[in-house]
Amino acid sequence: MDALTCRDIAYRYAGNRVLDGISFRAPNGISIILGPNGAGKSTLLRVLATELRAAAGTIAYAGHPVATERDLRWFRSAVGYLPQRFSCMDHASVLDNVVYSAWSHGVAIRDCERAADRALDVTGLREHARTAARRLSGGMRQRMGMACAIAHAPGILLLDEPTVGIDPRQRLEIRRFLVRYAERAIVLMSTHIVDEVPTLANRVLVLDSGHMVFDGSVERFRSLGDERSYSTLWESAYIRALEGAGRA
Amino acid sequence: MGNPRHDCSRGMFAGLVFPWHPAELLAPGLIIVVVGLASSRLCGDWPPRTWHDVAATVRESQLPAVMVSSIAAAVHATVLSKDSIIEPAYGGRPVAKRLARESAVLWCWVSLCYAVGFIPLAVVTSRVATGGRFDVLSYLSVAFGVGTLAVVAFVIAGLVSRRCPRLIAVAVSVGAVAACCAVPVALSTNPVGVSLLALAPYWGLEFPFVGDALSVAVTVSRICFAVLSAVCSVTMMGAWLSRGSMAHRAASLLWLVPPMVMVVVVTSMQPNLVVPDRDARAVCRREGMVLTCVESSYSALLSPVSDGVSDVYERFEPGVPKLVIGAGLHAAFLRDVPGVPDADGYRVADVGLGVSDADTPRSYRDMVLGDVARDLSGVSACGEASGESADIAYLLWRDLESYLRDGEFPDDGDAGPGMASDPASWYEARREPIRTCSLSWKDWNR
Repeated sequence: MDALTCRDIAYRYAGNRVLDGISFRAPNGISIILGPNGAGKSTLLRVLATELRAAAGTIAYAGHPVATERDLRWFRSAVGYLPQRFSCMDHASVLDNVVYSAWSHGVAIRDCERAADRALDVTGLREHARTAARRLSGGMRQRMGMACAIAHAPGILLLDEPTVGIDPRQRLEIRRFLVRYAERAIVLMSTHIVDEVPTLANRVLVLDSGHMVFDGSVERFRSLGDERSYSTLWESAYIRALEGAGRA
Repeated sequence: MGNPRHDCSRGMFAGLVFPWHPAELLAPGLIIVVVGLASSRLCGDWPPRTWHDVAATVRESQLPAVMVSSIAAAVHATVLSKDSIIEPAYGGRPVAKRLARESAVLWCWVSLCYAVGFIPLAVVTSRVATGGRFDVLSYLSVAFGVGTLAVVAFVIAGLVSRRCPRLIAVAVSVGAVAACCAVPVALSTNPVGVSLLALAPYWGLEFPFVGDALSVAVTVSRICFAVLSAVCSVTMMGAWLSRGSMAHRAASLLWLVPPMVMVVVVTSMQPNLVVPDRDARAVCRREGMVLTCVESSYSALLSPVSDGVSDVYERFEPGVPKLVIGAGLHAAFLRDVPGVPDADGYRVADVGLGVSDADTPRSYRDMVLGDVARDLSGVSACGEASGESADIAYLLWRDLESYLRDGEFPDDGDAGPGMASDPASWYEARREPIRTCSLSWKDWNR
């Protein structure tokens, strides 16, 4: 079974340890990364996307460590990454953007269009294929970004707060897509919205100040919650995890 | 069903996928047109009065147009920034390959936009050149050159924008393009104007001819252009040929043929291209039997030419009607130039055509007298012939040139005693064999 395994990942920036000793194993399904601002969620995703180089630690996928340049190229072809804010060809159509993304991720030129069609079908953007990217609403633009990220059918999908600033209906669409996609891929997604845990997650990771303070199943995460003390069960579980209650 | 434009596997253009809609570059294209026209208006009369003016105006309006297209390219390159979703830094394609692909697309469109931007000038040109002989090559080269520079800007901006904000990327790319322009400018500065794109910077110097003068600076400039074009073309070729099936590669290769041919044509044929100015007008002055004409733009040179040559011809060829063709005119095109009287019955001499070769009135006078000496020596009658008479003709040319300029023969000259004592009489007695390139050593030494 394919899985993404990280061991003792560290990342330093300007002398500060932004990530320190991050270890986890993410199998197929959705793993949600929670944490306050500045906890290192985005940095972790960028390290996993190989956009940033870790100062220490190892990453392995499907049992193969990513050690050499060749491994890196192979690993990159297996990763799709959607940053929180992204740029694209605003004047070009949705289809153009996705076709281009497929090509830039290494899809053979003759297969780009087919790959883009598939990605647009999955993200529900088929009827907007000819629409210029700049005319898309926030939610649809986010879905286009996802289509770009999955156009090369990656086994690992990394999403940095994909549902922020999106209306509930669009958020629902994105959630449906993620659940479907996660049936055959590893999805790692950072979010501030704790309510997404019960609807989406198979696994929960909680980061605080660059350290992993919780790594476990949804059920275990839920068990930390206290509905009597807080407005919701899931938010209380999150607070307890940050307080260290979930440490093994 | 897919978009047919993206179907890479069929059709003669298989393998070419242009992700951008053409309309995307309409705005920069429009700006290029406006800036080009505005700068043309500032640079000189509008519409340009002569072919030479058109050529100069086109040259001088290139810099702002290049800058605009470069900025547009650099701004456009921000889709490749570190936050790009379509060109992520972690993507599977090497950065150079991705930039090359984008450059190729951009190059096509910027060239097209620029060519469209020059349609008004092309119309003026065709109107001026009523004979229908207007210089298409110059426009092709302009389009090609500008497109190439924009690609340079784009590549630099693309690389820089991965690490820096957009404004810095723009500034760096514009600076690089300006540097690219500065080299040919430095190399091709000339009295008439400057070529900012390095191609045939001496156009117009030999008024009214286009591109018939070639210097080291021109050669170096054209080499710069050719190298730049070659680098871009090879990069594009590398990007395109490295993917797809054999059919794709063949189609890509075919697509690259036109620009390559264009480079070869532009760089090989241009110096030989001769285009007369259809608006040229002659002004003439008669001194005895000598009628001297220059193009109206060079009327200030009429007196120096006329005064310099009429005395000489009256002395050496008395009684022979002479038509001296001066600056801006050429015997081959005399029939097309209004203002020149009927040349029948005249012996025609080209004198002082190369205005650009003279820096001062004194050097221009020397050049004119050198041309007169060449005319009198009969060297042109000898042509490619070799032998006794041809050798004598060259000796005579050298000695006469020295005599006309300095009033005496050179100390190491070959003039015989008869020629040294009374050159005019000596020449008069041998005029016919000199004119027919048949003078013998025996006649020469008498």
